[in-house]
Amino acid sequence: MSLAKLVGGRILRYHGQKNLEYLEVTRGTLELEHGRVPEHIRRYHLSLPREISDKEVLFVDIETCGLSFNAPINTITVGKINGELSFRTFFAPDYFAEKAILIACLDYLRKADAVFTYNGTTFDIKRLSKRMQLHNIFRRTEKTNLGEMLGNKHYDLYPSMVKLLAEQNHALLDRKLQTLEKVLSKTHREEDIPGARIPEIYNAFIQGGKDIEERKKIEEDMAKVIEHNILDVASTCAVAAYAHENGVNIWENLLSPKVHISQ
Amino acid sequence: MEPHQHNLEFHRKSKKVNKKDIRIVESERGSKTIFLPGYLDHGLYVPPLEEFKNKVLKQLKRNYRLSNLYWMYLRHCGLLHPTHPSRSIETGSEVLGISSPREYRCNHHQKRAEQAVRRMWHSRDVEMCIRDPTKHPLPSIIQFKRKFPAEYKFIREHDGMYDFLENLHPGLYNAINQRTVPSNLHSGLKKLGKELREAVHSGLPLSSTYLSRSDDSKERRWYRQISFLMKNYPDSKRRLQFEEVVSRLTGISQADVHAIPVGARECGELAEAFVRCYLVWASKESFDPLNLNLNHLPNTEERALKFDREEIKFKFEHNKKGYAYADGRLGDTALEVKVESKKLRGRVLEDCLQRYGNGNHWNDGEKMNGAILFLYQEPKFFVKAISHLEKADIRVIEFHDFQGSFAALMDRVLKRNTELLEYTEPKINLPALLNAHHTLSVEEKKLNFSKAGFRTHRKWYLDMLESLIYEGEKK
Repeated sequence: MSLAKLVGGRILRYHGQKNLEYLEVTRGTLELEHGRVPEHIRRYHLSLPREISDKEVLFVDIETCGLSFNAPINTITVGKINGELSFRTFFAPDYFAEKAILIACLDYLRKADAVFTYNGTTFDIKRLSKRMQLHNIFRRTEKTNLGEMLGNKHYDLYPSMVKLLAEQNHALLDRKLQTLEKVLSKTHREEDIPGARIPEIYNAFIQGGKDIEERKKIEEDMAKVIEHNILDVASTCAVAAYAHENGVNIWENLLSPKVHISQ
Repeated sequence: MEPHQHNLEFHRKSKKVNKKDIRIVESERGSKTIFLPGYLDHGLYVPPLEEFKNKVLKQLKRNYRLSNLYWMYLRHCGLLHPTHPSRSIETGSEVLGISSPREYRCNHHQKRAEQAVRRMWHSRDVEMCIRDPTKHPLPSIIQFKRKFPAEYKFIREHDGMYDFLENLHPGLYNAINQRTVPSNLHSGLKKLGKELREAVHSGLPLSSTYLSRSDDSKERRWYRQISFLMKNYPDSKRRLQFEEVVSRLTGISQADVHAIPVGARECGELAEAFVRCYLVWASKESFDPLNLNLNHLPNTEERALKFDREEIKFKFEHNKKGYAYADGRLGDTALEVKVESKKLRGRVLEDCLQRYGNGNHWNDGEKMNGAILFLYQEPKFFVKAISHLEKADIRVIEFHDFQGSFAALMDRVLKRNTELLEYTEPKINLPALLNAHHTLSVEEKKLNFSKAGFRTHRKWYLDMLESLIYEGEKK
């Protein structure tokens, strides 16, 4: 797959199954070219509470094949604080591989102590949960609803940010992640793919293209979608940093004595 | 201060007045004129109290409301209160020694509502209903609303139906809302649920419109039973929607009750496409692991594989139309693909034998030369039917045989035709196709695969197969 070369990823097989292949892309913050976002993230690391430093903290974002609740998921990026922030993207090269990327993502979420999303309560986590239920990948002993399974571990940054921005009297057009990113991190994405075009690009990628030129163009677009997803996760992390710096207690649930933190 | 300003003040501020400010002038007839400082120089008129009291009571008794003039006089009466004069209806009523007209009216409506309730639900009927609700059902609250709309409105606005009925007759509200379920209903629910579940998974749309207008008496019976259950579903305190009843009976979510039949039909299309793809490529490649005699057909020179609507039509006397359709035609042999998770026995088997084991004639006049039955089912569904089918010259291709043969054929095709299939749209993913093929024949997987969440997947598989068929036919 030339897309793998294009984004510097590797093709993995789900549990060694020959048939179920997906693409995994790994990145570090040093490789990010994203305005002041990496700087924000580094500052954030320095200000992390001591209790948190050894915990498995994840930032999650997904891309779907449409806004319909039944649309499959094609890309999932998990940002993980492990000394440095690193990103791992799971990309399904076709609909068949969706199950594999969901399993890969669930493996991460199971181990997580905290999961941060931006608008995840109504979108990312809900969608992931629905698709995971459909593919029947939850263990028998687990809850079959991702939201319930994560419980207090999941923190949606969206409501806190809306409240914080209202308190600070920010005059923003909307509360979208990219708007926040522009204002808070003073950055602008160049050659970015708009989110609304992602289903169309993915569909074209599945179709394949009529000739070499068309295929190349589609693969380039697809690579941009993967980059878009990674940048979204980086921005989510930067938003968490901003919220934390401005006094929002985003660790509230994680540090609460009621919550059991698995080691 | 100007007089009109006083007036405004009087209206706006409290209705209470200082007793010292009031000056009362009484006439010979007993009527009074009340003077207030800065308010109406000619004073406020109050008729003789006894006479006025009688008139008020008379008017209230007649039509339970007062004229505007009487309202005004009653308010003026309030100013005659010995201790706390106030220009209000309540104080006026107190001075006259009557309950306020509002209370009077409310009491009147209360009495009327009580009478209406007693007429609707007689205490003897209520007692009987409480003892045996099946034999003596009570009229519903909706019926009460239709018969006594004003009383119903009054009760809703004041105590509420529950409190009002319970005060009149303890247990009445529950007796009215008690569902009367026939004793044999519970045992039938399980059976009906099983039938409906099978129907959903075989692609039948279980909507009220479809079932009520169906030609099949069994489907119309389902409609009647579901309609009955809408009002009488056990342990349900309210009337249910049609879809809700189906959902409760089958255990399938309401959204899936509509989506699964669509998905099941698409699974059927997918299975037919698999068979067609196999036949097309097996004849092109002269590689037929299933030994369907593709190379020894009588009319190989012409087009032996037929899938057009007119070509697969055959004469069939056992239905109202007088004709039926096979899923395909290989020479004069009929092709039939069965995907639904229904046991091949009884009526289903009989229908299959009548269609393909009777030597029916195709619409173009040729005699049907046996049939090949592709079964996307687990063996438990058809194992007992095999001997009957073989006797009737119907060859059965089991799913496992087809899976292996299809994999072998497509592997060969993709290896030998790399150039041809390089730019098919969508790209061909053989492992994905084989996985889909497997999914279609395992009951549990197929039921899940029929859900709306896999619509995109199903379309993708079908596109791949159609693309393969197109390339095969073109070659």
